[in-house]
Amino acid sequence: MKEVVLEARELHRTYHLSRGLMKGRSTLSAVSGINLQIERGTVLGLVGESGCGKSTLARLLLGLEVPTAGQVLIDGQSISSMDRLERARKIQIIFQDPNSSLNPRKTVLSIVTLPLRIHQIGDRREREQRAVEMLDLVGLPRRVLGSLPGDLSGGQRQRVAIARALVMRPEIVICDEPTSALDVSVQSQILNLLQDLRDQLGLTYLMISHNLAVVQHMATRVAVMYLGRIVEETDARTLFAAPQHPYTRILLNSILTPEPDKGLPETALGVSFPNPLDLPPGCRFHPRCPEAMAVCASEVPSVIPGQSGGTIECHLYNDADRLSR
Amino acid sequence: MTRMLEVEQLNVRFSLANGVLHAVRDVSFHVESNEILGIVGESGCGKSMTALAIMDLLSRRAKRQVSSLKFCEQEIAHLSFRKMSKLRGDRMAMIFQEPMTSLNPVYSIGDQLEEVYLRHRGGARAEARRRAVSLLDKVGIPAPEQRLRQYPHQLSGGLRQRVMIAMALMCEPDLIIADEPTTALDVTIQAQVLALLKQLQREFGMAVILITHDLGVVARMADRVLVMYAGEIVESGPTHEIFDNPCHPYTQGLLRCLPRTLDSKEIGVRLGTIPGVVPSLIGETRGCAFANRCPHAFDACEQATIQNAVSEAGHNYRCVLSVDQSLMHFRETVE
Repeated sequence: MKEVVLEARELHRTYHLSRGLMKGRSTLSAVSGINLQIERGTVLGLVGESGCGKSTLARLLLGLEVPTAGQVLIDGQSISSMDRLERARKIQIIFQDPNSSLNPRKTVLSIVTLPLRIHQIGDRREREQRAVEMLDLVGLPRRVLGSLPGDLSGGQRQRVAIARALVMRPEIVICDEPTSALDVSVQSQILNLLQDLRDQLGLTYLMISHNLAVVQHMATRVAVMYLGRIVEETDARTLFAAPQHPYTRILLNSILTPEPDKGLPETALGVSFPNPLDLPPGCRFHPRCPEAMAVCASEVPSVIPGQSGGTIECHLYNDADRLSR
Repeated sequence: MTRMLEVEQLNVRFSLANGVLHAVRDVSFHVESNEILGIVGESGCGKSMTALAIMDLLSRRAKRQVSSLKFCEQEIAHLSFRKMSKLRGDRMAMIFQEPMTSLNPVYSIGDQLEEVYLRHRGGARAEARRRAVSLLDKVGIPAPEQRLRQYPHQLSGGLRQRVMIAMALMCEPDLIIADEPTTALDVTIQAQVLALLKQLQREFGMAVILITHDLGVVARMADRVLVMYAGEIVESGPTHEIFDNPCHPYTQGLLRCLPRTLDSKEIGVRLGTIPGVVPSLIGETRGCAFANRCPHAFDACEQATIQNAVSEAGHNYRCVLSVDQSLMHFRETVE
C-alpha cells in the first residue's frame, strides 16, 4: 500500500453572493463534496472546463481558502492545525502566467530567496548559495541572478517560478496550468523539466490543466471535474483508453490532435453552460448529457467504484438505477 | 476557384531606438475563394502582424511595405484610409482572439451587430435587426431576440465568440481573418466554435485565414498551411503534406514538441524540444533565420541565400536541405 501524501475529505466551499439591494443572497457552491487522495511521487491530473471549481479546489488544498466543510490532510495531518509557514514548507504552487506571478521590480535572486527570508533560513551567503543551486536545478545560467523578470523570456520566467516554488523543498507542488501561457516549443521544455524534478526530488504533483494532451503526458491518475464535483477518477492510462462518464468521453473527443484526416469532432454538448447559481436537479450534467435517462433529472447519482480503483458518479454505471429505469 | 487575396512581398518594420525591427519579411502568399488557409507559428513570428497589415490596421509606428496586395483581383495596397474602411467589416472582416476586449461593454449586442450593417448597407434599423436575429440563430445562439438586448458581460465566452462570428458575417464578407479565434475558450467549446466556422465557411463559400499557434487546430481546419518563423514563411503547402511530410526542420521540431495523445503507448517519454531562442528581429538577417537552433545546420546555412525547394502540389519550404535529406532526418527522430 502506497502512502497518501495529500488528501481531501468531503471538501465544500460555498460563496454567498449579493444579488442586489433588498434581494437577499444566492449561494454559489464552487466545490461541493470532493474526496481526493494523492499518493507520494505520483501526478494527479485535474481536468474540467473553466468555472468548474478547479482553481478553488487548488486554493483550498493550499490553505489559502478555508473550506465551508470538510478537511485537507497533508501526511495525515489536518492543515487547519498547521500554521501558515508550516503549510508553506509542505505544499507550494506554480501559477499559470509567470508575467503576473513574479514581481517585475525584484531581481531573480530576490524572488528565489524570498521564501528563505520569510522562513528565516540561513544567512545572506547561504541563501544566495541555495538560489544558485536552484537555478542549476531548473536549468538557468547563474548570470540571470541579477536580472529582472522583464529581461527573461517566457520559458525562463516559468523556470524562475519553479525555482521559487521548490526552494523550500516542498513535498507537494500544485501546477495550475503551468504551460498554457507558453509556446509549444517552450511548453515541451518545461514539461520535461517538471518530470525530471519529480524523479530527482520525489515530488508529488497536482497538475491542473485544460490541455488534455499535457495531462495525458504527465499524469499517473486523472480526476475529471464538473461543476464542483469529481465525476470520474481513475488511472490515467485507463481513463484515456476507456473513458466511462459521458462527460469524460466528450472531453476526450474534443482534443484536436494534429491529424488532418480526422476532421472536427462532433461534440454532443448543447451550447448552454449551466448556471452555477442555479444548479439543475438530479445529476448536474444531465441537461447537457447525450445519454441522459429519466432518473438523471430527478436523482443525484451516488459515487460508485469505477475502473482501476477509481470512482465514477453516473447513473449509467449503477445497476440498481438501470434496473429501475 | 478564384484568388480572393494575393499578397506579394509584404514587409512590416518598426523603427526602434536600437535599430529597425523586421516583424514581417518578404511574405508572399494567396488565398483562394472557398478555402481555409491556416497560418501557424509561435508568438512573435509575425502571424498577427501579417493579418493586421492586410487589413491596414497596423499601429502608426509600424511601416508597411508591399509590392502588391490584391483583393478580388483589385489592387488595395494604395487605398486611402476611408476607402479601406469601406472594405473592412463589409467585404473583409476580422474575428479577434478575446471577444471581451473586442466587444464594446457599454452597447448591447444588438446595437453592435446592427451598427455594422447600417454603416455599410444603410437602410432601416428593423432590417438590420432582422439580419442580426437570423445570424445569431445561424451561429447557434438560443433565443436570439432576447440576446440582442443583452450586454457582452451577460454572455459566456463561447457565446461571445459566436457573437463575434455573427458580427463578421453581417455583410456576407468574401474574406474573414480569424486571429486565434478559440484560444480563450475551453476545449469542448473550441470544437463547437471551429465546427461552426467551418460549416459557415462552406455554406457562404468564403475565404478564411485562420491564425493560430495550435497545430491541432490547423490540422483539423485548414486546407492549406503556412508555417511562419521569425517573420518569414518557412514552409507552406496542403495540410496533409505539411503534417505527413514536414520538410523544414522548424516544422519538424514543432511536431516533435507535441505531447502525443490517445495512441501513445508509453507514458513518461520525453518530449522533443527546440533548443535556443528566436533570434532578434532587429537589423538585417543573413542566411537562414532558424540556423542557430537547427539540429542539421552547417556552414552554408549561415551564409547562403536560401532557395525555395519545391515538391509537387505546391509544397514549398525554405531550407538548403533536399527533400530526401530532410525527410530522412525527420523519420529517424520520430521512430
